[in-house]
Amino acid sequence: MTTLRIAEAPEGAITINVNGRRIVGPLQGFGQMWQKTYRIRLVGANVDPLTVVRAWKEHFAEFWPPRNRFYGPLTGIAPGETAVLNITVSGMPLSTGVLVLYADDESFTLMTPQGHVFAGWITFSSFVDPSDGVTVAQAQVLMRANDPIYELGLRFGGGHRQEDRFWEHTLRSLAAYFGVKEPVVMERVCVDKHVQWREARNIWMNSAVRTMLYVLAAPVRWLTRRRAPAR
Amino acid sequence: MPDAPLRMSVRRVSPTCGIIDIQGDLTAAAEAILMDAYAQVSGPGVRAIILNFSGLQYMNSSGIGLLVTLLIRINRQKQRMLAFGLSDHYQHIFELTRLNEAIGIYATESAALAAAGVAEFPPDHMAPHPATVARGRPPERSWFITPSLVSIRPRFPGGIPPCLLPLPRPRTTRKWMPPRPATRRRRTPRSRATPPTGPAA
Repeated sequence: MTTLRIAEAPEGAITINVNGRRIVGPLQGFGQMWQKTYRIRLVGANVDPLTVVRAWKEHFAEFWPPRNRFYGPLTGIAPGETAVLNITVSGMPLSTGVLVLYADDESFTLMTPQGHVFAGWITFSSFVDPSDGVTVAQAQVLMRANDPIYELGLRFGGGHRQEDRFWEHTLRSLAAYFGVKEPVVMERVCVDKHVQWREARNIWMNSAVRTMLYVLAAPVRWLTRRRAPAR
Repeated sequence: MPDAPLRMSVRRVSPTCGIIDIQGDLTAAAEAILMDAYAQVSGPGVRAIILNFSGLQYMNSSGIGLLVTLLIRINRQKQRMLAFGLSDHYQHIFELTRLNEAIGIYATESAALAAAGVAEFPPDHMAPHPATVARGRPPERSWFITPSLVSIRPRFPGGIPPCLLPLPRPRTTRKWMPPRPATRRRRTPRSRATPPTGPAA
C-alpha cells in the first residue's frame, strides 16, 4: 500500500490530509471519469521538449495561479516524492498532497491521495508536433471526483470550469516563461459517465471538509496551546 | 526517447476468450492500435480479454491511462480484463496505480487462461499471481479471484482451509474511523472502580 509521507512540514504550509493518506487512481474515485487534455503551442520559442519539461519541473510552483501553493519536495520532482498543496476551491482553503508517480526527461505524473478533489493522475509532458515541428506543452488529467460532495461541485458548482482555468493559467505561465503568448486548447472526454456508488464513503476523507474544520478550530488550538504548561 | 515500434496481434483462443499480444512501447501513441486490437478480439460471446505484456518494452503513465480507458470499455461490455507477462517493475506500477485491484494479473498465459475459464486449462493454474491478491480491497470486490477458490473446492474433502478462504469483510464502521489515539485508553481509573475481592471484602 502506498501512502503519502512528508519528512518535514514546509514552512507556512497546512499539512493536514497528507501523512498516511493512500493514493487513489481513477478506478477508486466516485464520480464520472474524465480525461482532460490542455495544450499550448510554444510558437517561436525555439525550445525542445526536454528544456520545457526541465523548466516546468524547476518552476512548477511559480506557474500556479495566485492563492494556490505547491510546496514541492526539496529534492525536486522525482518519483516517490510527496508534495503538499494548499489550494483554494470555490473560495475555501483545501490542504492536500500529491505523489510524484513518474518522472522522466519528457514528462512527469502526479497522483492524488484520498480526500483530494479528484482521484486520478495528471501528466505533464512536452513533445514536438510532427506536422509543423512546433514544441507543445501538455497537461493531461485522468480523473474521477473523489466523493459525492466533489462530484456535485464539479457538475453543478462550476468545478470543471474552475479546474480548466487553473490549468490554463499554468500553461499560459509556462509559455510566458519562454516568451510565448498563445491560447490554450482544451479537449474533454467523458471516459465513463457512471458514478461508482460503492466509493461514496470516500466522503469521510474529504480534505475540503477537514481543512475547513481545521481552520475553524484554529482559535481553540491557540487557546489550548496558551493554557498548556510549558514543558 | 524515440518510441519502439508498437505491434499488437490478437488471438481468439476460445469462443469466450481473446488475447492481445503487446510488443513495443505502450504510450499515448498506442491508443488507436490498442482500441483496434480490442475491437478485433472482442465480439459476441467473448467474456474475457487477456493482455500479454511479455513483449512490452516501455510503458509510461499515458499508457497506463490507456489501460484504464480500455478497462472501462471492457467492463461496460460485461467482460473481464486479465493480464500476464508483466515484469516486476510494471507489476509494481500496477500496484502503485491500484490497477491490480481491477485487472487480474497472472504469471503465465496458462494461468490467465485458466482464470478466464478456458476449458483446456485445469483449475491448478488458477491461482492468481501474488500481485493480484496483494493488499488493497477486500477480496469480495476482486471478482476474478472467486472462481479459482470455487474450483479448488473438490481438492479439500474437509472443506476449504481457512487460509484459502476470502478474507472476512472488513468491519466498515471501524474501517472508516481514524485510529483512536493511545492517550484515550484509560484503563487505570476503571480498574480502581472495581470492588475489592477476597477475604477483606
